[in-house]
Amino acid sequence: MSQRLEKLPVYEPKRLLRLTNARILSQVFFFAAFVLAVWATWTSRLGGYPVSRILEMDPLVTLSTALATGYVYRFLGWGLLILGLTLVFGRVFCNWICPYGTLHQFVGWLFNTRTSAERWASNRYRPIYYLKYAILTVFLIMSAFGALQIGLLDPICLMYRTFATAVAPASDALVDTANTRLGVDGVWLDSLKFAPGVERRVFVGSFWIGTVLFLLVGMNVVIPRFFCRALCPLGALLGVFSRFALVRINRDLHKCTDCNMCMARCEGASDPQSQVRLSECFACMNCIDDCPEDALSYTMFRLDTKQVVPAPEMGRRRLVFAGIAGVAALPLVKNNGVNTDENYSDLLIRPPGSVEESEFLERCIKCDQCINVCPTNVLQPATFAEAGVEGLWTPVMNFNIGHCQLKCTLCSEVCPTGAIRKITVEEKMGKGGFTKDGPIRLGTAFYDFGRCLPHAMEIPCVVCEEVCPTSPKAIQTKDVETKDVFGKIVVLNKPFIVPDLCIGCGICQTECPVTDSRAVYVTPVGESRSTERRLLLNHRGVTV
Amino acid sequence: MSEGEKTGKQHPDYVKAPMSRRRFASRVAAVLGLGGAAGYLAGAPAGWPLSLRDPTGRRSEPVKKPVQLGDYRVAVRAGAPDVTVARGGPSIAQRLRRALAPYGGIEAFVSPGDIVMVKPNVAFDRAPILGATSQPELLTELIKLLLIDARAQEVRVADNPIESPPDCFEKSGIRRATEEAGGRIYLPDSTAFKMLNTPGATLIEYWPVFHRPLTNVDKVIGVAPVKDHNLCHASMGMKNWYGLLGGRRNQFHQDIHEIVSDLSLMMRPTLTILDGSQILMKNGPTGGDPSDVKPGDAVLCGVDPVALDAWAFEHLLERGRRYPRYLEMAQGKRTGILDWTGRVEEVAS
Amino acid sequence: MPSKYAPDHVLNPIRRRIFRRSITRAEMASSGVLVAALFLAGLWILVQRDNFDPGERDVSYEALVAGSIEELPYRAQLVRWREPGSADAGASGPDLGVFPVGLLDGGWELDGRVETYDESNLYEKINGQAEQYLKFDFRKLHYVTLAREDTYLTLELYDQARFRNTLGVFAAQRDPEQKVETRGPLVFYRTAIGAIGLLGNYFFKITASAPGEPVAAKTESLLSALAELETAGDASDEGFSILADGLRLPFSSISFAKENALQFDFLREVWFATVGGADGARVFLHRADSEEAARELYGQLVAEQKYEHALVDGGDSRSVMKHEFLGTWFAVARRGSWLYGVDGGASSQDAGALLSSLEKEIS
Repeated sequence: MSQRLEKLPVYEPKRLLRLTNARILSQVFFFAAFVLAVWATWTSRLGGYPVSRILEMDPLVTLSTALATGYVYRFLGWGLLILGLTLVFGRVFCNWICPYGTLHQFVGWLFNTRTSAERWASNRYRPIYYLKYAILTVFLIMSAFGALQIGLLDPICLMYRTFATAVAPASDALVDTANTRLGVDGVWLDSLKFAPGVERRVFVGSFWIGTVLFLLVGMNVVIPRFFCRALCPLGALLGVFSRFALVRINRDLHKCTDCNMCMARCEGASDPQSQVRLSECFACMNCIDDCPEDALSYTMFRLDTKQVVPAPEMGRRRLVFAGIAGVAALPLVKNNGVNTDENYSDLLIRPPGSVEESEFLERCIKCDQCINVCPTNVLQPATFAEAGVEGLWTPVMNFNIGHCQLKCTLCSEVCPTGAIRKITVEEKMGKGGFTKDGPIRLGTAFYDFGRCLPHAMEIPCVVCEEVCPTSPKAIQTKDVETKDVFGKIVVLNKPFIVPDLCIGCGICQTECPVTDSRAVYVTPVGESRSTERRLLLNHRGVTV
Repeated sequence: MSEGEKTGKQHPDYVKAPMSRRRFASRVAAVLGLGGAAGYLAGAPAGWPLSLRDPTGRRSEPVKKPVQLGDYRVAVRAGAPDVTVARGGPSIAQRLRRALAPYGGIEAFVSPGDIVMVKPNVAFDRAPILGATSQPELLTELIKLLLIDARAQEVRVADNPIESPPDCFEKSGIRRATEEAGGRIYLPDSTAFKMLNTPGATLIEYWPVFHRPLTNVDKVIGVAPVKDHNLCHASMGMKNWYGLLGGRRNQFHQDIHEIVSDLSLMMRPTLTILDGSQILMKNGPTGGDPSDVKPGDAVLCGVDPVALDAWAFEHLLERGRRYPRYLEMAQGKRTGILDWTGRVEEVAS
Repeated sequence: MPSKYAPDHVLNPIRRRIFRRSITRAEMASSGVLVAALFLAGLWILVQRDNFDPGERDVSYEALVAGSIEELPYRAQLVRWREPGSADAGASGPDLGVFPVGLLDGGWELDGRVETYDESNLYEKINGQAEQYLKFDFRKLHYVTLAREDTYLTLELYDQARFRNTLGVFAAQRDPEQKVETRGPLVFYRTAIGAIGLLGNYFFKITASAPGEPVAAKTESLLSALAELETAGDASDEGFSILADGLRLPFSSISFAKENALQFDFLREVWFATVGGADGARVFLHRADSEEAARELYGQLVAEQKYEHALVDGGDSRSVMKHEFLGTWFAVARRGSWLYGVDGGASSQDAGALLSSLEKEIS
């Protein structure tokens, strides 16, 4: 051994400047950037930070929305950067950049109590790893026909959605506990919170969203990088492209002694000990560190063309079946009947700036960034009730929880795909150059006169008129003096809606004191984004 | 005796474990002791010390220990008017200084080292020129006076708006004005509220209040704009304290005059400042249209919140003498005197 | 499961060992380059904080003004409660116009209908007396007659546009012997057959055909009902408040002259108040349109008064004169757009003192 050492022209190994360390640093950097993006996506912090960039860089988002809409929205061109990176270096994204991959790798590493032999066995390539290509096929075919569902399994979308709706509120609750139980002073603790300065946020359905992440991350204890190897459609897409990679893992047959040490920490299950599967290799560089013979390298020179399997191993049969599944899914999803212009839920109120519903479903990747940035907690991930299967986890407004803040358009600024088209405050309010179009209406408010205190119970109230933000107010009153059932003369201001002026902001519903089932509530009819779901033919009214 | 002992043939895995008398006794003592203690905790009558028994279920209900607010008023010099009015002049800041002059400046109210809470009206995300919120220039000047002239230790600016707090503080300009002047903003979150006891109040004897900025505070100053209000006819100094309430405060609109007069009992401020720079004449309290606002040139200071509101109602909102009912009710609760004749000083420019 | 061969670890127990023996220079260099690239990317991200257009996140004041809606939606008047047992408890009562609903309580019925008159046809109703209302910016007369058994009662409501005008009318028509009462915003005095008074921009007269208990009761209830009437703004008139609140002069001493004040045709819209009884001095107060106008009026007034007064102490903005025959003192001064003075003062000190107190209130 020492003889060999003297013979080889080696440099004294500087253990710090290895690619694996650079990779770890890169993972930490991008994970921190991701958490920072979630943290900075808040009304008082947003500024000009490019918080959506990590979603815009996702080539699967670019590709699927381009297929669904025919265009590349705003900054989605950044996805070509990652694609270009993959064309040169292979699937480096999966282990150097992807924060979800970092999370899986970290959890898998932390709780890994396998022996050496068990490790080699766990990192073998399994045939089931073809599944992600099938999933990718299904999703891409559905996208091509206008049913965008990649957000369900795209790693960045999934990670962001879970962080926004499950992790961030949990973390904030923890910080609050430090505040109340330990009596720590509030103001500097606010920097640790994702949503400071407001009441604790809640998100409908965050239980399921968090459970999905928990289960998938927990699978790492059973099969390392299970999601990345078997389910990830983005990994599949990059795997398809990495067959053209210039730089890849290369095994020098002359040095290799077939000891299988390189399989001990292989993240991608790409068989570096035999013919390396390019479409599975994450370029984690662990195998290079583990080889005692220095037989492995990451290079583009002197490549051994026999020791590589460039293409994904899926097979024609499976590909065809995946295609059929994709095509068959379309009518099942699209004809579900719960989100048509004749039959749509009265809870389906979309954020301001949203495009018309069928186009919305072609664009929304369910990343939930809009839900994260919303200052009033009104945006919630949809359940099956609002938009059916197709619209699961897309943003809807729940005016029992919050209202749409009048001069806020942050959801439209952070949406990476244009499901919520970027608008300015002037456009939202219908001022300046948008006076002719009028304000953006989310829906119309309606009264339930049987529950409204002045109408049904002769009790003065009229909070709704007070908080209505339009000028003139969309809630006017008929003032009546009456003798109530106890003989007391009361002045009742009986409210009614002026639908021509109502913008559907929902603050009347939020503030109505009949809290279990509000006496005034907003429904989406009359929303300005849709001509089919319009209520009024003409807007009567005071002229400017 | 075991089978092995009887027959003499011992099973190879059998391990005899005799129990000594001492072990047995200690076991019995442990069982009796722990059992007795547990039995006492669970069974002893509720009044006995350390008893955990709860026969009716009422004992385990959460007990809220309410806090109380102090009386933040200070004695002003003899002969000082109850209300001062400063009109005209080159700027809001100068008007404020003139309005404080008859009392002897802000130093008459705030001592060095005091922690002062300033409560502006930041209820909506309107621009300040729309008159729905307090003017940022007034706040800047007030905070500077407090920190430099009166040498206060800390100035806290807080409000609990109906709409999104970060948005309201930002778009109304209050956040920037406060931070540039050296004050500290307190935003309401879930942990900032405490149950407050206001003895003598009709509706809010016990109610959650935005208490974090009021912890250990020495002086409280209210800074309110002069606004029309669709329900109680005017929203000025007294109604401004509504912004400290938490919980489901929208219930109080069923008896709005009672709650506003209760607010004057809940909060006895050191000083109330009314800002008549942009008067919201109609469509209040939200406003939103420039035609609702009438530019004015008055800044009022007062130690009698009832008289202050009454004068502003008559002269700034120009509604005559048919005062809102909450002013008479506040007078009935002895938090001020409605008739302002002879108690108002109009300061020369 | 823990056993002798597989101990029950929670975390990864194996320390990372690197087995490779050489690291190429290329690898070290590329690692360094990558780390540097990450650092630069981090810097770029931090620099982006202010890279946005705040105008997109707010709406400009100019846009709000341009889109401002001046006319408010129509708002119906407050519908008053009417006791079901009363005379007019039909499905809908008669149209009472601006009169309060309480008009018909107490058994009184409408005799005829509510009549309204404006400047063009006021003469038709009140004939010779129309002039005294017309010269005070008369706008509308609401006139109604009520009947109860044999007694008739008329209620006239004159809308004079502004409080100062109603005060002028009231002061002109008032019997100085009568005691003036106030009830909230209502100012009135009682007569044998009713009451006469003012409320904001309305001047009202209640006149019955004969005195009596029902008339007195009805007058009382009408006064309460009138107190609830909506009046135009401007209830606080600067000139009035200076005299009433500033100088604390009683209401009954204050009057308003629309034109021909002090018998000069160039002097219009002047407040007067007698100080110390009907024979005492009068202070007067006028707000001109501008400082220029005040200066001009001042000059004219001093010039005119010089015919009958001797100038004792004159100046550009303050003059004191003594009446050559009557011996009373006249003082006039101006400040800003205000013109004010004293007429008929007993002595120069009195005149001077009154002038100073006016000055104090004005500034």
